[in-house]
Parts: sequence; structure tokens; C-alpha cells
Amino acid sequence: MKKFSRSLQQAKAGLTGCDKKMEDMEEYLPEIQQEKKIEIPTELYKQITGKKVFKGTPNILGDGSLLALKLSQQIFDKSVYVFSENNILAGFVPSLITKNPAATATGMARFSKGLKDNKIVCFADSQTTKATLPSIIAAAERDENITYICNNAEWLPKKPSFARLIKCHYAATASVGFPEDYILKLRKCHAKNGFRFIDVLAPRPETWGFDQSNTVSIAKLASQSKLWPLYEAEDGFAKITKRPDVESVERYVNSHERTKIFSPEEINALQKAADRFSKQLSEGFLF
Amino acid sequence: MTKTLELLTASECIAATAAACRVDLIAYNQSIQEFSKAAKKAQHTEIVAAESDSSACHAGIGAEALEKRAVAVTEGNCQEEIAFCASLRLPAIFINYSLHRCSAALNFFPENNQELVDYLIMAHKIAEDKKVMMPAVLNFNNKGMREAVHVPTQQSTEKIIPKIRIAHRLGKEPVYLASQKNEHQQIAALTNAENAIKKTTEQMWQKFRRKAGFYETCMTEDAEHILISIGINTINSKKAIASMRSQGKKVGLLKIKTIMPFSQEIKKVVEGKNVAVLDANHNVYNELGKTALSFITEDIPGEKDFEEIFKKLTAGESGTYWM
Repeated sequence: MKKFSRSLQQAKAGLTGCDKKMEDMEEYLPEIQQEKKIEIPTELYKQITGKKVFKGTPNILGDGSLLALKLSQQIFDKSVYVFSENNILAGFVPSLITKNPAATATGMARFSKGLKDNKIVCFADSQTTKATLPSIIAAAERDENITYICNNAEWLPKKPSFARLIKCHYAATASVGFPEDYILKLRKCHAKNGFRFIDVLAPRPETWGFDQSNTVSIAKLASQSKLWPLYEAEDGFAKITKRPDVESVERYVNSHERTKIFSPEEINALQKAADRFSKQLSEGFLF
Repeated sequence: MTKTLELLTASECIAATAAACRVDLIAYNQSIQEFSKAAKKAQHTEIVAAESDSSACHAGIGAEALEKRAVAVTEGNCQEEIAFCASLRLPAIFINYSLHRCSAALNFFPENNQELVDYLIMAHKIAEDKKVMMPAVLNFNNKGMREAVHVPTQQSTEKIIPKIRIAHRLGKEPVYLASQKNEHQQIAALTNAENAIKKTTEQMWQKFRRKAGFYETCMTEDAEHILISIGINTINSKKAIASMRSQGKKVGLLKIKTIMPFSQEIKKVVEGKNVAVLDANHNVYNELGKTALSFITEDIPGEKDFEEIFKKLTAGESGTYWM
């Protein structure tokens, strides 16, 4: 694995290097792309402003959250999006940016029958979900007709996912490393009614401290080491959806700079807790 | 035409008039327990029982983004959300059960339940004006007071309030709504609101024979000292001024009903006279009169408080006092 710190010129040159690791993903993608293609309304923007539109974002190279958003757009392409703050792709779909996405979506969800797709999607940071957890739990209790996607770029191995905290009809964890699994879960959300929640692991090279080409492989390692198990909970019954090849916790912890803090004793404790939770999930219990 | 009066609390008034104004969504804070009972009066409207002030406001904003009429009932901790709504230029209406006012919206201060009903009808008309398009806040502190109130029917309000139309709504085309720094446009909208208020006061007078407007005066023509009050404080201050007049002292009262827009006609009433101001926050109106006397209150003042106020007023003192 390459070193984390490097100059700007090297980073620009590294753009071509991304293609090798993206091959892992392309095994899954072509089937879906034949069905639907993402059409970003660039022409309308050109008519209004007379400027070119750049697809993608040059500011955040290799960010997992953008992948999570683009995959969600393949299925929820006609629905209205509610974003948390500081989202870059917000302009390309009918969208509203707020500090409290779950509460704004409740106001919209009552009148969603007049819309094209009858669906409303929240796409929020892990930071805002942590800050607005009470409003999300209240929306889940009221059973509003919303899908809430949390792109989790702040998760640490000690903490559980948000899907374990929120009680609703459909709660699931997903990962950018396994897009097939993530898309299947999105399709389930599209078919259902009521409050549904997906927590997507989206590694961020800037803050986590790894090379920009390794986002997918690190997201894979997290669920291979059982720290981020891929499961779904329908009406209280949990079920593991994907069982990838098992790796040790130690390998995941040493893969990037953010998690190199743990001592060997702590790593042992993490390994035990991960094994225990995956055993519990296979029996069908979340708690 | 005979008017049927009902005995209603403030929260029942809001629910009944919202139904008359064809409001699509009412979002309220759960901790306001009276409203959960009163919400049954609003039929054919969606009701959201939010867990906090901010999420009630956000639910209202979300409904307005889809071109639906919305009212949010809060306990006053919603300054940030109203400013956010103003920057989006969405005409949501907030009811503020406190005297902490917000700066970035149309502000109305009803005195009793009847004025609350009237200003709630007016607020829809003014806020949804094409040249205004700003949120409106009704500041009213007294939840439990039960009064005889005339609530107009849906047929009579249809002539005053037309269908809601928002040009930049979500859903049809890819529109991108986010908070912007458009303070200049907001100030221009607030100045346009003065004409809209004048128009609607005329309409309300013709339809229901009740006065509404920027301010109200009481015995100010020959007065040397004037007390300025806002909102519910005027109920007690009217009594106090009547008793002072019986003693032969030249005292008058000025009740301010709207700030933001603040009409310049108020200056003419107050010019060259001693002024005392009753308010919950620090105030701006001190510069209007000769002397600057201001009293900052958190509760509604009683009889003993007014004795202190008039002593200092007639002596010609100046300064700020906490009560």
C-alpha cells in the first residue's frame, strides 16, 4: 500500500491509477447499467447559465460517499432528495438542503402522492445523523414514508452502526465495497412503504489516511473482518445478507492510519466482540 | 349578517382558523399539551406531532417546498429555522408561544384571541404575496386564556386568500433549494410588505368590520407622557392608564402591532413627548421620544409595577430597568 502523504502533482497523476482497483466493482455494474443509465440534466443548466458542467467532483478524490449517492440515484432517480449540508451533487436532482433532513422530509412525505415517483429520500452525513438522532427516531415512530440513507464516513470499530439504534420496518447496513448487496437493499426500500433506514459505510481517504485508490478494498476489509457485518432487520428479525471471505481484525486495523491507535489487547477484545455479534446475527437477534 | 361567537382558547383558535384558511399541514411541538387536544378542530389537514421546536419548523418548511400551506406551532426556540426559511423565501407561518421575537421575518403581536384569528388570516395573505414571499411570525404568550371569538367560515376567507402559488417549488424540474445570503432581497421584500398590510387591513375592515394595522393609539392626542407596549402587556396597561387619567394626569398609550415592517407614522404620534417602553427584549424605540426610559419584563406586569413606571415617567428619568 502506498503512503498517505503525497504532493498535489502526484495526486493528479494518481487519477489513472484508480482504474486498477475499480475493476473489482465493474463485475457487478454492467448488468445494472444496461437497465438504467443516469442522465444528469446538464443541458438545462447550460441553457440557464451558459457554463459547462463537470461530471464528478475534483475536490474529493476517491470519496466513498459519492459512490453511495450515485448508486442510490440509479434506483431513486425520479424521487425528491433531501440532503444534509455540504453536499456537492445536490444540484443535479430536485433537492433541498437542510440541517435536519428527517424532519423536513416528514413535511414532504405527507404530500408525496403528487410527485412523479411518490418517493422521498434523505441522504445525510453521519455527523448530522448523530446530531439529529431524536428527530430520526421520532420520524420512525410516526412511520413516515421516507427512505433515510446515512453515508457513514466517521465510523470507528468500537461503535455500532446507526441501523442498530433505530427501530423501524426496515433497517440495514451496507457497504460501498459490495455494491451488489447495496443495490438489492435499495430496491427493497423502493418497493416498501413506511420508514426505512440504510447505513452505508463510505471510507474517506482524507480523514482515514489511506491512498485514494483503495476506498473499495478498505470498505471490503471492514465487512470481511466482521466489524461491519452486512445485515438487514425486517420487523425486528435480523438476517445476514452477505458472507464474504473472513479476514482478521488485525489486518483491517493496520490497513489505514486512523485505526492504528489500538493496542494488541484492544484488538483481541474487538475480535471477540465481532465474533459474538456475528453469531448473534446468524441466530436472528439484533439485541 | 349575524356573527356566531365561540368560547375558545388560543390553541383552539389557531386550529379552527387554519381549517378555515385551507391549511394543508400543522406541525406542533409535543410539549405544548393543549394543542394536541385542540388539533382535532382542524379537519382535512395533516397534523405532525414533532418532538421539538426545530423539527416542527422544519416539517413546515418541507411542506412549503412542495407548494402546500403550512403552520408551525412552537415554544420560541426557533430563531435559526425562521432565518433559514426566510433565506429560502418560503411563506411558512410560525406561531411563537413566547415574547422572544425573531428578526428575519414579518412579526405580528396580537393582543387577544380575536386579534390572533385576524392576524393569522392576514399573515397568509401578506406572506404569500408575490412581492413579499417571506415567513411570518405571530408572537402570543397566553395559551390558556378562553375568550369569545368569531372564527370566519371557509367561504368568507376564500375571497381574501387565493390559492397558494410558489414559483420555485420542488418536484417538477430539478431545482436546488439551499440557504443563501440574500439579505438585500429580504429587506426589499419587507418594505414591499407595508403596502400589502395596508391593502389587507382595508379588505378585513370591509369583510369583518375589525381593525388591524401597524399600531393603535389610546388618548395620545393631548398626552405629555406616552407608554409604548406590545402584545399581551397592553391588557393591564390600558387599565392603568384609565386610572391615571381619572387622577388628572395626561398619559397616553401606544400599542405596536407589527414590527418588521415598522411604519414611519409612529414617529408622528410620539414626537416631542416623554416615552416609556414595556418589552421583553432590549428595544429600539427609545430614540423616538424626548427621554429614553425602558422596562424589560419577562412576565406580564401587575398594578404595583405600573405605579413604579409612571413615577419614573412623570419625573422625566431615563435609563433601562429590569423588572
